[in-house]
Amino acid sequence: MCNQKLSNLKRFVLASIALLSMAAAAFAQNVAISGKVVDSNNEPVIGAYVVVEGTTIGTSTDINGAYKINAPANGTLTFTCIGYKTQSVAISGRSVIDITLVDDAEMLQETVVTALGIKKEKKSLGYAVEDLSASELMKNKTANPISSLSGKIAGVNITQSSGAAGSGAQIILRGGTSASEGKDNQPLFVVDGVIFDNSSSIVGNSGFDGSIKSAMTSSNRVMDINPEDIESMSVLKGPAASALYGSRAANGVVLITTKHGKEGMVQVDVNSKFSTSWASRLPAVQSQYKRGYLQDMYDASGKYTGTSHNDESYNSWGEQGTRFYDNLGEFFQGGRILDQSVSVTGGTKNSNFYLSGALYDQDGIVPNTGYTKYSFRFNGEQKIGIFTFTANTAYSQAHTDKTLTSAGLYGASGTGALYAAYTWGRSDDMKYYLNDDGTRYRLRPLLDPWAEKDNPYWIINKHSLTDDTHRFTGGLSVRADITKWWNITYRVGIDSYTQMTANLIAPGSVIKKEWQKGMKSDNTRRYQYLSNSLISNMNWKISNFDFNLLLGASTDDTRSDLQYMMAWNFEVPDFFSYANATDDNKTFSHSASKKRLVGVFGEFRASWKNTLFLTVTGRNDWTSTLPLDARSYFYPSVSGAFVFTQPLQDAGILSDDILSFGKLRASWAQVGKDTGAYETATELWTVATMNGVTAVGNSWTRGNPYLKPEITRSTEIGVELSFFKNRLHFDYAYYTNNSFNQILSPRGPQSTGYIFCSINAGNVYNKGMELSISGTPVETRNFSWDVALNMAGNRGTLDGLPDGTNVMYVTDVQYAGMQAASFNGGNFMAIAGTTWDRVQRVEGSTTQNESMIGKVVLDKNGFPAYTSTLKQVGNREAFLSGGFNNTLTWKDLSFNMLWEFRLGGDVVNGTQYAMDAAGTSKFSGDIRNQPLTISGGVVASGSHKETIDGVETEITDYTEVPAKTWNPNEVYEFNGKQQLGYNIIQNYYTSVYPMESAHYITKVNLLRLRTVSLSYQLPKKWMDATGFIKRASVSVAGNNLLLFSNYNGDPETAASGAGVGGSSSVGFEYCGIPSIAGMTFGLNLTF
Amino acid sequence: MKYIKSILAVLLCVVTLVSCSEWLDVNTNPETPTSSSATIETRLPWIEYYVLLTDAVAGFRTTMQCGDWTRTATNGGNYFYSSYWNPANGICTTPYQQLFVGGLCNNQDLYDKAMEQGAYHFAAMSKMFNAIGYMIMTDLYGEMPYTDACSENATPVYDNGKTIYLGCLKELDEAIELFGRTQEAGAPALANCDWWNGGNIDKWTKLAYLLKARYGVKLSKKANGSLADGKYDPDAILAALAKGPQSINDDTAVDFLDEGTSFRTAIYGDPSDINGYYSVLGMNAGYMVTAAFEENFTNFNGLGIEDPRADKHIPWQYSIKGPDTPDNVKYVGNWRRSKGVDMTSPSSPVGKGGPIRSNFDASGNKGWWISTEDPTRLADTLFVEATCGSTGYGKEPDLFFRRVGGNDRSRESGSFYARATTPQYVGTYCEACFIKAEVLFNQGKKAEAYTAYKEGVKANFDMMNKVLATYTGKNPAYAECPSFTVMSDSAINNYLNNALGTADNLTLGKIMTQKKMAFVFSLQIWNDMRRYDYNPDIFFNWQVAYNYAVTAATNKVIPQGKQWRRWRQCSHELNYNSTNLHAIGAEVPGADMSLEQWNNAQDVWTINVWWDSTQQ
Repeated sequence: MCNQKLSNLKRFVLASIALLSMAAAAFAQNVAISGKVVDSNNEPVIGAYVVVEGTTIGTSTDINGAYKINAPANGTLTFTCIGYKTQSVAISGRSVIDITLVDDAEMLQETVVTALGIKKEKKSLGYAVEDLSASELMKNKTANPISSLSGKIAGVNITQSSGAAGSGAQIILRGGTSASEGKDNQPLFVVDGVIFDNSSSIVGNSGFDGSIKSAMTSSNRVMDINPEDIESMSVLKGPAASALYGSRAANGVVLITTKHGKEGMVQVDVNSKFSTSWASRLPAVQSQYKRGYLQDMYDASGKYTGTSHNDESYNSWGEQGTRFYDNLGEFFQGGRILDQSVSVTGGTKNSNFYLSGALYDQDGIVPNTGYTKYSFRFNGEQKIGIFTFTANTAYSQAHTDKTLTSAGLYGASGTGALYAAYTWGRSDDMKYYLNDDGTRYRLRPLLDPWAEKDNPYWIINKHSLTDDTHRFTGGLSVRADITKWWNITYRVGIDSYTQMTANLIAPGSVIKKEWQKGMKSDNTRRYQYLSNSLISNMNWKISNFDFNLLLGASTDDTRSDLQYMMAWNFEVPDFFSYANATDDNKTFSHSASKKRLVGVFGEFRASWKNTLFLTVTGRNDWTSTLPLDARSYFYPSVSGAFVFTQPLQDAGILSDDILSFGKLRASWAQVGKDTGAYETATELWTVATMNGVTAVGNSWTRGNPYLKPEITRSTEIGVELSFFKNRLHFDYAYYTNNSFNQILSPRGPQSTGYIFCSINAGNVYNKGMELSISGTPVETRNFSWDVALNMAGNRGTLDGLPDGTNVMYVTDVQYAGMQAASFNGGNFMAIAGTTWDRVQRVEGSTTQNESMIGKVVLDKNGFPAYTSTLKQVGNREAFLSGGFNNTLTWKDLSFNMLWEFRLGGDVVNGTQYAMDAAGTSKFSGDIRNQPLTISGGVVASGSHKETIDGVETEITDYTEVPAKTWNPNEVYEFNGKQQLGYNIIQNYYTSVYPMESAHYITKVNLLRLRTVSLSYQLPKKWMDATGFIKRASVSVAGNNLLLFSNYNGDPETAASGAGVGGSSSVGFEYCGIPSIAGMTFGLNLTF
Repeated sequence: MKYIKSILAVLLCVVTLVSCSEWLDVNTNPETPTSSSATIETRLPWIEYYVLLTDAVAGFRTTMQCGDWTRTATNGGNYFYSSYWNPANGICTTPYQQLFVGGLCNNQDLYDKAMEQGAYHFAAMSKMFNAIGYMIMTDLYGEMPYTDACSENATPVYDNGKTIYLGCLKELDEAIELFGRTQEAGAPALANCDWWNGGNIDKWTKLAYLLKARYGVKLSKKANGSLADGKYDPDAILAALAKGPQSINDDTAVDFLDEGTSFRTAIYGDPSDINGYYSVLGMNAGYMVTAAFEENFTNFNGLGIEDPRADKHIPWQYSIKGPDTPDNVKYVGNWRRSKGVDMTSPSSPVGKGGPIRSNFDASGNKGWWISTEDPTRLADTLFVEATCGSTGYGKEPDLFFRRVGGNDRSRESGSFYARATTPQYVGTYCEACFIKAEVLFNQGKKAEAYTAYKEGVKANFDMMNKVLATYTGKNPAYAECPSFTVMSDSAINNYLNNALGTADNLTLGKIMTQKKMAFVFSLQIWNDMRRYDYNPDIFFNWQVAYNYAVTAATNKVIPQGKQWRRWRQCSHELNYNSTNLHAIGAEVPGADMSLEQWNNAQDVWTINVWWDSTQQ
């Protein structure tokens, strides 16, 4: 794995160095010597320095590894190149000297892209940075570059929110740092030096047009990048690594470097992929009971007379039937992806370019849903004198066709297509949704048309829910290499997109009466980010010390603008336009925000003899978003590394046969974080007419003029070890990542007059460990086996919320009676839910009956009693998670297998909950005609008094209730009336059983075959025969083919999508588009 | 060097930018004015809306607890549960949210700016809003942040019921004093922005005195003493009434435009120009009157004299009389009046998962019918919902609701107080009469009490007829439906003279029951019922629903032998202000302080609020 990855990166790095050094090269009069420098694979080494020892005469190798130099015939040439061991060769009169440089395995893994795009030797770093090359990312290419990171890096948690076409994925590094639902905990993305927005915003008017997170799926905006354009992704996990980025980087940074042209012939790459996909796991359904219910009947005197099937219900708790339809199974279709990309690259000594275009076209597994993306990129570089001009530009257009998922529209009693599909009675043919005349088939004509539930097919065929994103991103930079030891770079960056959401609700839908003639809404969000930065970088060497000083300043300007339009009640039938609605059937709104930031920063690095490394950084930000006296804030970081094997090896005490490399690292960093625009003042609602009078009032968010920046502090210690000539690597890290005095906008007590108020409160603590082990167990001339195992565990907790605030909820994430929550003094990623009542221990009591404590308290029907108060019932954070990646290469054949595993972490099975309640699940079919026995419960039987710590306390006494059984066919007295046991059992499973949240929570263990792929590089001789194809490869890959898990479904889920702030919606599953599995066939051609 | 110079120039630019703090001064929203810029003329009508809505929501929700209304189980939810005393936390948020987040967050600013401008009448209104709003809070929840509410404190400290109570009284006095002042020259006129009373200071002052009396009579469980000390003070109540409304022309009765174009608020999706009760009962399905309600209006005190108001409050349906129609169903032409839902007998439909909502079959010939095979439920067609139409919001041709759009045969009338354009009565002469009657009766002054009592009933006829008269001539269809017609003088006089009894046989029950009948959806009714401990001798035909006794869940929340006395604090206070909330429990007799949170006790609903207790 590593070799492949590093050689690409290495070449890139070396080419850059070569370009630099050429200008500085000097020439002397002597013998003309030429030659070629190759590596152990016989590949040319580009940009190796060739220096006449003892002089300043030197050159570097070109793109073919060739060099020419004049040197004294009796001199010595030294060949140096990062990543290889330096070699000195006596000239001895020769005019041709070819050299094979040997990998310096220790060095091999050393250059990584760090903050501000600076490449550093990995061994010099006092913190964890991991990067992935293009080839590693492409092994399981997805539409979303984030998803390709899954399972590959310790401490990086990726959650695909659903199987919907175009749905987003969430990435969290080392746990979240903010408990506020409005604040995203995902890392900052930086593409070619320019901050790249990765929000997953749902644009629209709350639930009125379906624009809520539980009603639709959304993309995360990193999906706008064409994955094929990525040269490497570098993950800076903690604040120490990202401190230079300042405010926005408290959650870490993912640096993306896109591809550049190389010197040499113009090369064309064509990449075609075709995928099929399918719903990987559908819940088991019952096929015995009809839609409806068994109604208990009484005669006029109130005497019980038996039950009668009544089909005035959407639920399936009715009588047994004979005819059932595979509604759910037939609802999903096979998905399909066509993924086509082409790139052209080329370059000369002083310039290079990369041009690409791609089309990604996906049909989702839900009919009429899909995701289409076009993307174009041009990267170019030009050198003139000491200046290097670089431009990186990309344009993309993404279009998503989606559907209402679990929630219906506000003001309607209906539901989303997916919820309806999961709960649709199987005794009805769901496909029959239109009458012959094209009008809506009404399953329950007795209800008002707007009080029914929409058939899923009506929703997917009649409504339209789309979004379109047009995005331009670009960076223009100029670097001046003023001297060999000093360069200055100025960069201007832009990230600009327009996201348009359009919704159409068809006339005659299950939607409020006012909209029976249709409704449409259009939302446009424009986002614009502009940045300037100027960075000076100097380095120098004094004896055994290397020093580097970086100074810089940057400005950021972020604006967004939202427009919203809605019209309803279209007068000319079936024509949906704003011109076709009267003025009082239209509304619009507009909002805008602007925030700015200025930062100055510096970094000082020193190293001694490749052994000791020290980095100190500092940054001061001035933000527009905080009050004047708090707008400026400074924060430092310090990190260091000690390569303890270096002095031992230098002294000859240690060879690299066993311990090849060993390093200890440590870092401490602090990052300040500002807040959103306009949080310091209370604003007014839109001006209103109140019963004919003009009126204004305060908005429900209180401004806070006393806000201060929030501070994240992190520490990390780590050790890296390599053994057996670097065949085996260990990397271990322990970190803490704590955010203090967070700027939260919690829901507060509304006796403040407000629902939300930005305040400084609450501390989030994360601590965790990461371990990665990688190696090459087998390596022969034709065969190699690379293996990498990584794992990590994070523990996130929260405290310091305002006194009396026990919990921070994520409002959007409420499913199955449970809610995403962070508890004050408890878990950050907790689940809040109800439980059955149990006998509580009375602290300090000596007279309480110990044997009763913890037993379930029964109500007078003999059912477990419950209270609707929410408490912590689970923690969604995994105990441990990781990946296991294997690559086997035999000649031109490469086989890759990526497994992911997870131990622990609770997942809420909301789909099961919904289907049990609706009576469509297999479980609900199995239990309803079984006797229900409740045993071990207790009831209060009196009380006694005890004086505890001087206080007279009343202690309730309990007695155990004998086990009680309800048979489905017998009649019992229940809540004061005669009822059939069947109905009592239904009552239990639909209203009592779910109140014990644990019934719908699974502590998940899983092993998933994320991808398995096989690729074959077609023989070179075949290519030569064509005369125009340089290289060709074919590949086949399977995604998500195997999942071993104790969870009923796919536990990788985030019911409210990616980008939900605070503790997020990870770990909540609720009637979403099921996760998909698929096969991909690919062809790769290089001309 | 040339390069270096140019680079330095760029660097200089950046540094200049850094020093240029104006570049950072962009933290003012260009789209939305900030709070400090609002004028008192625009602030005032905003607060009026939310305080009025708070009053309506509190009134409607507590009415569901008082035995007069229920809801179909299918539409039911929380209000169905309330009607058989199975309180759900879900009822507890809205009045509190409307009051604080909608209204009172604006109130201090209104007061401060008004005083600055010398606009004393605006300042007086600010005091009135506090008094009305916080009194509703203590009526519902007992304790609430008051002195510390809507301050800079993110977790406001609680006040006990007495502090809130006395504070509200004091604010009324302050309001009266401020109404009495002459506004400074140049101060804005109230008339242009007050949509409750059109800037009529006289009405406002009378309302303030009425509220003093209303609050005063709530202390009937306390020892006698001075009202200012929180004691029962009949003289102070009567003195306040003397300065309160003297006829229905003094009523604070808020009219509504129902134009349908009015602003919809962000925290409440309904328009602001419709009656708050309509927002719930008229706009939605499933609300029905109970048999107890019907009984009081058709057979008050067992005298068998039908109250002319029965036709106005009990909903009607357009319906063709069939051969099977029971005799006790009232028909006028093709209009059929609802029966009341039996709540209390073992055969109560509530106890059998009903009542079931009837459907209208537009295509066939069934007309109104019930979809069930349960023979005991077929009679549920006799129940008519309170749903009604509106011309503005509902864009209907008239105030009838048509179950099947456009089909006149599916018309329903709705109920008097819950129509879109019926005024919302904040304070009335009618109420003043009933308070007077109660106070006098309890002083043993039966004759005077009787006069006030009879005057109160008459005032109610008058205020209703004033509204009913507006329908006359508007639409012939209104004339056909008894729900919309003016009550005749003869019927009224017959009722006044024959149904109310005499001064000699006057009982407190007659006074309080008639008050209950006059204020069908008022929070004051629940207040009265608590004051008299739900005594069925005082509230005729009151009985806890049959379902209450037999439902397992109710036994935990309102254990047998206890009564519904307060609401639980809403989740926002329990979750986000729990320390302060728990602390106030020490001042609440009956609070179980051994719990982590006394207010989370399952039966917290049964703890008396301060004014409803004997705690002095």
